[in-house]
Amino acid sequence: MVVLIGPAKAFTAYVSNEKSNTVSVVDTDRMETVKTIKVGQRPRGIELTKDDRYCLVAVGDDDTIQVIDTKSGEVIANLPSGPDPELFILSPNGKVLYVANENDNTVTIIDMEKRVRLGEVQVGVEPEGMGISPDGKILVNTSETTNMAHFIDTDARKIIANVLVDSRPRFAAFKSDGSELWVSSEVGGTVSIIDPVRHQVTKKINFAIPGLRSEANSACGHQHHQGREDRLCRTRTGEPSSRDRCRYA
Amino acid sequence: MAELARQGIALIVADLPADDLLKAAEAGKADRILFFNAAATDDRLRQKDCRANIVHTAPSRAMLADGLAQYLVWKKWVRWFLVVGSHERDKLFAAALTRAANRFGAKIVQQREFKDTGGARRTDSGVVQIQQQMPVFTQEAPSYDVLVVADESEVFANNLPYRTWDPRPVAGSAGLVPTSWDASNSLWGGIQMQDRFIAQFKRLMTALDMQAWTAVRMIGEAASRQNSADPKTILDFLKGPELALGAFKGQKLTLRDWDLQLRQPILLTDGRTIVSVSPQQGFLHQFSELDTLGYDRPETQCKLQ
Repeated sequence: MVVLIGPAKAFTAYVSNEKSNTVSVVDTDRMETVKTIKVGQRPRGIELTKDDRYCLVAVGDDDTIQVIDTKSGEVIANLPSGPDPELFILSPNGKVLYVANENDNTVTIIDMEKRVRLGEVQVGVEPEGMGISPDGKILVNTSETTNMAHFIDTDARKIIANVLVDSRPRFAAFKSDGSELWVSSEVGGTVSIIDPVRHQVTKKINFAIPGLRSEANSACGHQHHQGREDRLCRTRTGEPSSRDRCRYA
Repeated sequence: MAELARQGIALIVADLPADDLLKAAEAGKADRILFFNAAATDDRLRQKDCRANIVHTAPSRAMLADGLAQYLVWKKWVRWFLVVGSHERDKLFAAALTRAANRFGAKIVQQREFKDTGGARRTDSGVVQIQQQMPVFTQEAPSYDVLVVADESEVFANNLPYRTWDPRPVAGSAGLVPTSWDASNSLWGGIQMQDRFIAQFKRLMTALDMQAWTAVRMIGEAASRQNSADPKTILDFLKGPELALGAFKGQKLTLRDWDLQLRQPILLTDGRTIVSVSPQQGFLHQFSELDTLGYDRPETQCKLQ
């Protein structure tokens, strides 16, 4: 997984390497690895804090999220993420971190200033995707085996709705105005567009291509580009073919 | 069966040999019980002995053999020395391997039987004897690329790798083994599955475990999407075009509506890693590449009833 830091053009990318237990720091101008940071075991989800001061990386097999100082490139703290953290998301104000604990069917909530655990919410089996509404009031977690998007009230820390989507939902993102939630289902090969108020799937995007067997089609991740390109959606086919493909909806 | 039906049980995951499964299915017919065969790989259960109330999550011997054959042919190891155990199920697997060789263009240059004489006379003395006996057993074979062994009874196959007279790889019941699941599989979220299994049962997950899990997963998938526990509603959904089962195989799995066999990729493992996954690239099919494994619609002898 990759996150980017820096002003236009001169980007630094942080890449978590799940099998080598490192984070690569890449200068995207030179397209070179400028530093390799040793982290815990099985680094997966990776995000920058809102002020770009820290890079957070979930090290699943060490049951923690490590905090890397982006200036020094050193691991300076561990967050109490609970067991097997995978993906996570910061609240819009950057004060609270929500973590999907993949093996424990929970979402853990962490106070970023005090670096303490605030609580947890039980969700479906194999939680992964994490999305948060622009106002920070609704957190959405997708569970890859239960095949649901769980809507969580962040004040009450309770599930308020479950929406059944297609097989193996891996990524969830709100539209920047909060009017829609998009969830990509890897095995189902679809993106479900959900009305976050009525908690109903309003549209399903298929990526069927004539001549390509439907099994070859998988939707792993997608991204909402803020502003102008709000409806850009990217999917890619998974292993073993790894044929990358872009579609616009 | 009637007693189970009285208790309200309508869905059964079975770990039974073929004949017992057929008896159970017959007995459960009147009460509309739907069976999920998680264990029996017999091709006849998908062919002339197929049943309208048995869904198969276990791959058939033909699917396993075809998955292996595609890889060996892709590797251009097309001259096979086939060694077969003396038990019935060894012979059934050998028949599936022979069919696969014919389908995909491999040649069986010689077939030998390894007789189970009881009490493992050839192997009781441990490595010293095995090391002497296996080269002798495999010598004077015609030129071959790979030794393919059918020994489902687990009498001798594991003694073949590294001990053949000619330095050749071993595949089939030992060496490179086709299977629905192996504990070494970390592809497609497999690690999550293995971790959860180990945490709960304190042991590694086998193919039979996976086949049983997949059966329960199918039931759960159908029940949650149809909002029903009725066996007919569940079977109709499973047979239909909307099933897209996620089972840690990197693609959606669906059901063959002509014999109720779950389409699935076949893993090829040496017990330490996943060496490859079939269907192999280039083995094409007009409907689903997974239908290059096992008995396809035009070949079926199944009449569901």
